[in-house]
Amino acid sequence: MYSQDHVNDFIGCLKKIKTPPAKNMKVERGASRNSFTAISVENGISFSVFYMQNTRFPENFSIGLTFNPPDHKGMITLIRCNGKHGPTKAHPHHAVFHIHRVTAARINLGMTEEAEIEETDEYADFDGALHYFLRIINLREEDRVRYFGAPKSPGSTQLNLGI
Amino acid sequence: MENILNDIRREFNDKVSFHEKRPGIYQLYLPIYHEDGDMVDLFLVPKGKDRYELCDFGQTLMRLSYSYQIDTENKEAILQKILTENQLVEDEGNIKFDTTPETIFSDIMHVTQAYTKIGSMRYFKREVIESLFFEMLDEFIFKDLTDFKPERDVLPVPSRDDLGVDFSFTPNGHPVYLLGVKDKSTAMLATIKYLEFHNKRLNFRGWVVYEDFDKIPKSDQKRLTNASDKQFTSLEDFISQARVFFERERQI
Repeated sequence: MYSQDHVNDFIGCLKKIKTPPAKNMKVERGASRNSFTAISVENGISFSVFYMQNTRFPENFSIGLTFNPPDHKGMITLIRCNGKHGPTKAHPHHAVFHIHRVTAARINLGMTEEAEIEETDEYADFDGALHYFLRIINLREEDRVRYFGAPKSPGSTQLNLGI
Repeated sequence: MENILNDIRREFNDKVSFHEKRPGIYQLYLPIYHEDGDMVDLFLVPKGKDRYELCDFGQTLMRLSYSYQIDTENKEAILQKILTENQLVEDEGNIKFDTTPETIFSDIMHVTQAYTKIGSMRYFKREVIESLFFEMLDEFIFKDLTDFKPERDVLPVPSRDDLGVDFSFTPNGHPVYLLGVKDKSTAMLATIKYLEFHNKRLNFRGWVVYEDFDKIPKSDQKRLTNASDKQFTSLEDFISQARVFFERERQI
């Protein structure tokens, strides 16, 4: 059984990169994508990070943190920073940048969809979202600087990741 | 364009909205959602007089790749089968379907259903398939091997409930025990059980079916090879050959 504190600790524990991202994002089937693996500095828990962006619509992207818990079959995506899907009356989160999170209650019920959704004004493009994401998953600063550099100015969607 | 958008609005009882996402590309906001609460991405692109294209601009495959990679020939074949059976065309990730004003409602329902079906490929993840190993084994045995009198969860040594076998068959005078092995720990346990049965001088045949023989460490493979009478290296192997070996047991 997981508590929400467990889940929050998984997201926020200090991490270092184990397998670095590819130098350039790979363009495949309509999306640019990349990934890396990381481990928690304190106890060596393994995590994976993916980030991808639609090649036609740069505002459609997703950046996620997954981990492979020892007592659960398969990977669980803990948090995912998303772009905009577009406005709807019934679901206002579609109109804005938003974040999906998994909850302990859902994991304990065997439902691993990241269905908890919050709107965010922490970023306004893919580059901003990626740097925000790297901060909240607590990737150590030297790795952030080494592999991702400094955030570009707001509004830029073409960051230096080989897009 | 206005006409077909009005048609869609009417067909969906005004529970739909539109946005010109890019010049000539209209995103449809329909009350059709993924399990995480995001809506199914669907776009309408005019292609000529009364001809349109419904498509997703790669969003379906991008979403699938959050948790599932199409990185083997088999996975690709499954995807292509879904596309073909649903008369969809893929163009560098963009999954498309031609439509007309007359068929737009049913085409939207068809395409969104196909997109969610593609998204469901994530349920083919190895850990999910693995968990089906025993279910599939059980299903095959009690459907196709009933003439060899199968029984589940049998205790060859009644006083030892820690030495149960998954299945027991009676093709002839002696029982044939079958243990399913899907990892190192079940391989070790199978070895212990069969060695114990030998020590107790039981009259039996000890068979093993592996979920994937190559996944078991060499040392465990060796020990179990010495302790068992017959091994099937995969479920497919067991399904295709079990009857032949049971028939041989019958003749002994």
